[in-house]
Amino acid sequence: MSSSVALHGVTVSYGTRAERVTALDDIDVSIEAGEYVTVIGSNGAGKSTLVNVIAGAVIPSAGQVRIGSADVTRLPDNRRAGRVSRVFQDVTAGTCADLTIAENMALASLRERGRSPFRRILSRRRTAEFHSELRHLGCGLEDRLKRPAGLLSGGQRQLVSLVMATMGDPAVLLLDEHTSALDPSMAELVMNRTDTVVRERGLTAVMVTHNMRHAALYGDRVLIMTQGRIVDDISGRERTALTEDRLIARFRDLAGGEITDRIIGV
Amino acid sequence: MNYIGVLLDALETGMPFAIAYLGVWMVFRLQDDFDLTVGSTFTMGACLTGTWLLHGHNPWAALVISAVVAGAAGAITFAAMRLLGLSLVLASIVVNVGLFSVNLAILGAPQANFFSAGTIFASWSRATGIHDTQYANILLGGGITAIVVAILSFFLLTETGAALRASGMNPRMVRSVGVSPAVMLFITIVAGNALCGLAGSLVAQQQRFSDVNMGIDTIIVGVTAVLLGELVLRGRSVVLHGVIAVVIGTILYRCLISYVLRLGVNPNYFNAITAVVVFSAVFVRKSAGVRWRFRPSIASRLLPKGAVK
Repeated sequence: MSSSVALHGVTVSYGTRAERVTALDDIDVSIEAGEYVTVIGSNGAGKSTLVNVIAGAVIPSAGQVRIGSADVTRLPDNRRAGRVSRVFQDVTAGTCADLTIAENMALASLRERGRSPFRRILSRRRTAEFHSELRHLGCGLEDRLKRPAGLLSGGQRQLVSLVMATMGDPAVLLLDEHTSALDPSMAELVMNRTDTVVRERGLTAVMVTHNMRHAALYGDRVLIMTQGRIVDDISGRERTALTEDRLIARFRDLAGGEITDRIIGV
Repeated sequence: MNYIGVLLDALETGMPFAIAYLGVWMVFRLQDDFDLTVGSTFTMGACLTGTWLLHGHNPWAALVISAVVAGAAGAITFAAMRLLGLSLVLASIVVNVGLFSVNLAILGAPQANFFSAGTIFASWSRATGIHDTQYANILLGGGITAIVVAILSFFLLTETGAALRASGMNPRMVRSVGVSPAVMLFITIVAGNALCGLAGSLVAQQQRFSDVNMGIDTIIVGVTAVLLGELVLRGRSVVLHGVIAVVIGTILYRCLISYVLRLGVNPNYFNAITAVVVFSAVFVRKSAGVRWRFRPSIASRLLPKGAVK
């Protein structure tokens, strides 16, 4: 079941008292259940920290994080895993290289089912389930279930990570620049697949991206971040009318001198 | 040279050690780290067994007690590591040093023999009627090792076992599926040390002799056995290329030792021979292009700062 996400006055700062870096500065944002949000911003704007705060990998120094009706502010990521799932930017982070694809998928299913000490990681029935799940991707991955995940290409690993992250319909799906390490055609494939899954299942999704075209194309709402703050929130009719050029213009106005070619390009 | 004799010697003396080296392998390969506590926990198993048998208690119970107490000693290392934020290597070195005195206190002397005490090997050969001590020892030692191998293999193929294997490779992924890598590390360290304690007890019962220094080379010989085994059985299967490879590696190492012994080399040179074997194994692996695995940082296993426990 997808859930809403709400951040109230969330602040994250690092460093000593003398040299303080504020990654998130008093963020207030509510994301409704089933909403698909894209987040853009220059490097260091706090996008990844935002995702990390929702995932529980970073605990805020102040403020509150709610997923659905539950206050999860101080729960570490492994105890939020039943609600939150994520696909990382690093293609090697979402899967275990030495485990087979089937074993990786079985591990991912622990997120919803919990772990049982004596149950075998793989059974014939579960392998068959994984086989049919991978067949939907149409990449031939289903025939490689017993091969180690480390032998896949980056794009294939990211596809497997996406399948793993969306198993059992998580309350919130977090996508942290999950296509930025892929070649353009693979990035399109992964992005299309992401969009299909999120739409079909009505997932609540937060996607960080540096790609303005993707930000303009996918999602129901765009958040623009700079210097640890959300400076623009584009939704509704305004979002529908948003084109890539308009988004870039708007981003330039807000982020000003911070903007670099790398962010607009890709 | 009697090569069958070399092999039989290796099987007789090696089987109990294989259990200890499985404990070393668990931390070394599944968590990509080194737990030096094993040196003391192996000795602890031997010392506890010595005292236990000299008091005339049941030798089978000595196995259980040695494993449990050694596992608890492993938990001390884990606690020191977590509470003080130390690396596993540093925490285990300190605990290892401290346990030396504990072992000395347990045994009450630097060494003790119990030739007349009842051991599991004695009761085994009485029960089965096998009078050839070497065959009886190989059968019992091999049988216990086989049971440990079977249990460990079964465990590694369960959901918890798979999570444990994954946690050493990719803690971030493991956290994201709801498993705590710290808990997995705890299980590994405790189980690894328990296996060392069990092995220490077996070795002491077989030799009918305990010495507070007998476990000193556990970690290094354990690593040697792992490397030798992996040279022979190369692959990614955790049971065949992991657990069974360690047993094969142990037998290979013991064959080498018993061969060298029969050549009449001074036993004082054993440590130097071991060091040469370790470096040779690493060199052969390197030449054969066997990769050294990815090693995650300790920090990624810990809770994010500020999280509730």
